[in-house]
Amino acid sequence: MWPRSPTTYLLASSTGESTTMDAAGLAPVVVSADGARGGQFVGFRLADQTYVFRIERIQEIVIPTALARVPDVPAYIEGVTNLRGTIVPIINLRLLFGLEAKPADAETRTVVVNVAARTLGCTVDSVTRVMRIAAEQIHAAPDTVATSGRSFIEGFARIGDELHIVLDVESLLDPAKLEMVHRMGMTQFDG
Amino acid sequence: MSDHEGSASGDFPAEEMSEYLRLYLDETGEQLDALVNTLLALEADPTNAAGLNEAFRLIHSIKGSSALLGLDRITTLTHHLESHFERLRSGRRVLDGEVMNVVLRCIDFLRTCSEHLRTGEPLDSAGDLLDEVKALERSGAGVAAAPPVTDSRARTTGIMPGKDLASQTERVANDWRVRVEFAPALPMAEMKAELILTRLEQFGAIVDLQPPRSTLRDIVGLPAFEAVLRSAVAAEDVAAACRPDGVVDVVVESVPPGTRAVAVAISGADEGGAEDVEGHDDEPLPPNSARGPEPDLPHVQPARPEKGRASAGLVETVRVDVHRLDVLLNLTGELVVNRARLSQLAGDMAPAFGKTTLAVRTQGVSDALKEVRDNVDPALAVTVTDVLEQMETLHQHARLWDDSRQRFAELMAAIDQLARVSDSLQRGILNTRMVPVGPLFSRFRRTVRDIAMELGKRVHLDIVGEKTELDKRMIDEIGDPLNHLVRNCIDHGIEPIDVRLRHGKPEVATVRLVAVHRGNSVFITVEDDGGGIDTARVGQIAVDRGLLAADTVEALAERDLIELIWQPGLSTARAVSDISGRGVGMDIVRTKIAALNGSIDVESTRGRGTRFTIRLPLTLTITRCMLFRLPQGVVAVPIENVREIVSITGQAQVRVSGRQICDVRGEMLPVVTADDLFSWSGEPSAATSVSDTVVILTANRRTVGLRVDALLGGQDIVVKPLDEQFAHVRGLGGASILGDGSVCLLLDVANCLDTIQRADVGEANASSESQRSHS
Repeated sequence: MWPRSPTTYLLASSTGESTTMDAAGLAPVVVSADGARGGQFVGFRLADQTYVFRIERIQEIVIPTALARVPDVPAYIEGVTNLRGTIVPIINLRLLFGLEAKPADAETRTVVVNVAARTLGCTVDSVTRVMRIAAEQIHAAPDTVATSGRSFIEGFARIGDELHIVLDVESLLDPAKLEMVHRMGMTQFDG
Repeated sequence: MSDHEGSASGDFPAEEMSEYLRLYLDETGEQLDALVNTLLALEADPTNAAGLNEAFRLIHSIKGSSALLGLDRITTLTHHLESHFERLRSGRRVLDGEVMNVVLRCIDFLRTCSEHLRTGEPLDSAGDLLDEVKALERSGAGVAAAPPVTDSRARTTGIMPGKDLASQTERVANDWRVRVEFAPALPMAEMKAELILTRLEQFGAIVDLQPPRSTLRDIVGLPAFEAVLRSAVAAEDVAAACRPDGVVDVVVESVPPGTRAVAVAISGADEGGAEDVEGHDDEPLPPNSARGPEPDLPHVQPARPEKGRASAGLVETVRVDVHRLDVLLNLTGELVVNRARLSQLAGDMAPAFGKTTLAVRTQGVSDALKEVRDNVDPALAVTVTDVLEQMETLHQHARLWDDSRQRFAELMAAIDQLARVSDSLQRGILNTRMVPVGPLFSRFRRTVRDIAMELGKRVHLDIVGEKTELDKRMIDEIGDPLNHLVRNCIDHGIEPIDVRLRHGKPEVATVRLVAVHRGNSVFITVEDDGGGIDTARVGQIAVDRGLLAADTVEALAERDLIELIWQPGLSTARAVSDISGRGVGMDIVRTKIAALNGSIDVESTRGRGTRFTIRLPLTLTITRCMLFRLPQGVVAVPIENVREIVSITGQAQVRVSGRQICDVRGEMLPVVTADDLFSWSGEPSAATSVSDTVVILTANRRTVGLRVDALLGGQDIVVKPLDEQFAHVRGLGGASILGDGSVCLLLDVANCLDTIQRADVGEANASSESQRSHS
């Protein structure tokens, strides 16, 4: 369930910041009638939209450190950084989604995820909180979303007044599909 | 030197011998373990075909490697075991408890032998065990359906226990004189003789043998031998057993008992003489005793200690998954980086702990204040007392600080110690990964033989420096490129025999594989004495395939034409064959070698031959680099790619077709910036002031200057591949973590220079095309 990192490292950032989320992965998985799975999610913001990743996909959340820029790669790849001895590429989700770039500030975080035996970091505006979303709260994405090539959107969850977009980390950050994700983007996306 | 030594180490220098012996012991140990497991499984299911095959295979390979090392006792025993298992396999005999016991005891004996070989003790005699195994064989032969080797009496007695059978067989045995003649100059005739004798021993006892068994193996090009066999089998069966390849004549005749083989008979050759011959070495010979010139001292186990090897014994080895070593090496790399970070931090702190007299000074201030307090009016004195109290606290801190100086000195010493330990650890771990190139090179003997046969050429492979060591990973990776080069040499380089003869060259061509260790690199050369690279053809092909314009090719120097072979899509073989000639070869070879942080060069002389020189770093993971600051960040360049660093301040700006050219002591070199090498995304860096510092990069005989903002010095860096977590970027060799925890990129200079060259060639082609379209 935790593909690469020992649980003790979970969500403990190299800078000392940490968020407690023990036994998160052991939460019972509830499956709703339309196939969406419930569970625990980590919310983050890009521009004025909240997105969530499934917690079991996340290795840790860190405060961005110095980056080395890498040439000859798309602009949404900010560069590579040192994560406790592993050289990890950092993808700026704003740029990936075709949103306007925003300089890093005190809220900026790097969400480190594991995709297909690789580790990579995603720069987001801020991390909001860990939340439990029941399966019935998640509405599968309409077919038009999937057929439009945005299969990386797993569904939508309404929490309070706000609509959260549930992202499928695997299809979002699959190295082979990144370019397509970038082309589709989120800019013309009207939910 | 006695025969003993001759047979022991005649084929190998002692050092190499011990290397082989170590391998042999490791391998045999594993095989014995596997054999025991297989046997135990067979005990439950004695007819399991897969199990019997496996056991047979294991015994066979132990026999093979023992024979290679001339461990005769082990070879003989395993040979008998093997033939016994052959019978078990074919169902002529069942693996019952009796057999199992004997086999397991044989394994124990083999284990003891290995132990003795490791410690350098003499081997025990296998005499009794050998008898028992042979007894099993004979009883097995009796049960066998109809081997035409025994008369009816022997067959009826076949159900009797082996020993009795043996004696019964003996009673009806004839003496046969067997004379075997080999083809002249037959390779390994002495081995064939051994084989025949071993076969004959299955029929009965070899009563006499000429030449004596003990010297048989040392006679190179043995023309013939004669043996007296006491056996109950028929003459034709004896003759049939003596007919491996290369035997030209076999004479089997019945002789009266007591007949000797022609010429000198060996002592003690009576009944059961074969065992006796081997039995001679029962008395252990003291390792370094003067053995005197006894001519027929039987050669015992050759691994017997010699020339001081006795006390040393052999090093035990452990086989380890190479990935575990990778992990260890990575961790060591981290340790080294962390150590560097510690040193850096301590260095930064050092001024704070410099020789100060802080406490003395605070004391002085306090004293002065006390005096002030006593001499001012009481209203002010209150304030001064306050200040004095603060001063007191400061003073205490200052004393603490002074005391810590000692501690800081200790910290520095501890960091120094850590540095030494981590450096040794790193070197140690690197050493565990170093393996000789010998086995890799030897693989090519077969390749060379096969390809040469296929192409009807005659090629001799000359191997030099097989003890040169390289990182295991490198050995794994370099196999394919080397294979390609070797194939290339034979296919393209070496001319057909008639052409060679016409040019007065020897019919047998030579391909040389040489490995040498120089500095921080290993150089591997692949060299042939063939026709050299046909530059005219190379140029023609480049034009035909549309790689270059005809006039561009004409303008190229010989040297540059040769360099064209590295272009993708170029092959000079006239026919596409299995061996090479698909035109995907050389550029892939170069790419693969570049991926190992190495480089490859080619030299060729028409009619004389071609030489490829591969330079490889000793290890994949640690590279000695120069660090530079570019506007886009810090990059590392392997030290062997840095020719020099120059300042071009005040030079006139000369531009040739968009490329700036600078004059380095009369040599005109193109100068590029990081933007020429790569496209960098993100906001353009504020590189307003153009630096005049230029690093001259060189690879594959090409040289280009790169403008850098600053030099950051040399450093050993642990290179991590970028594509492990990310993607391969052309022109980057990987990345590394620096002492301060930041990441720097490693330039793959060869590829960077290719990029520049391509850009220039593209430019040239475009301009020549535009000229053509104008005219």
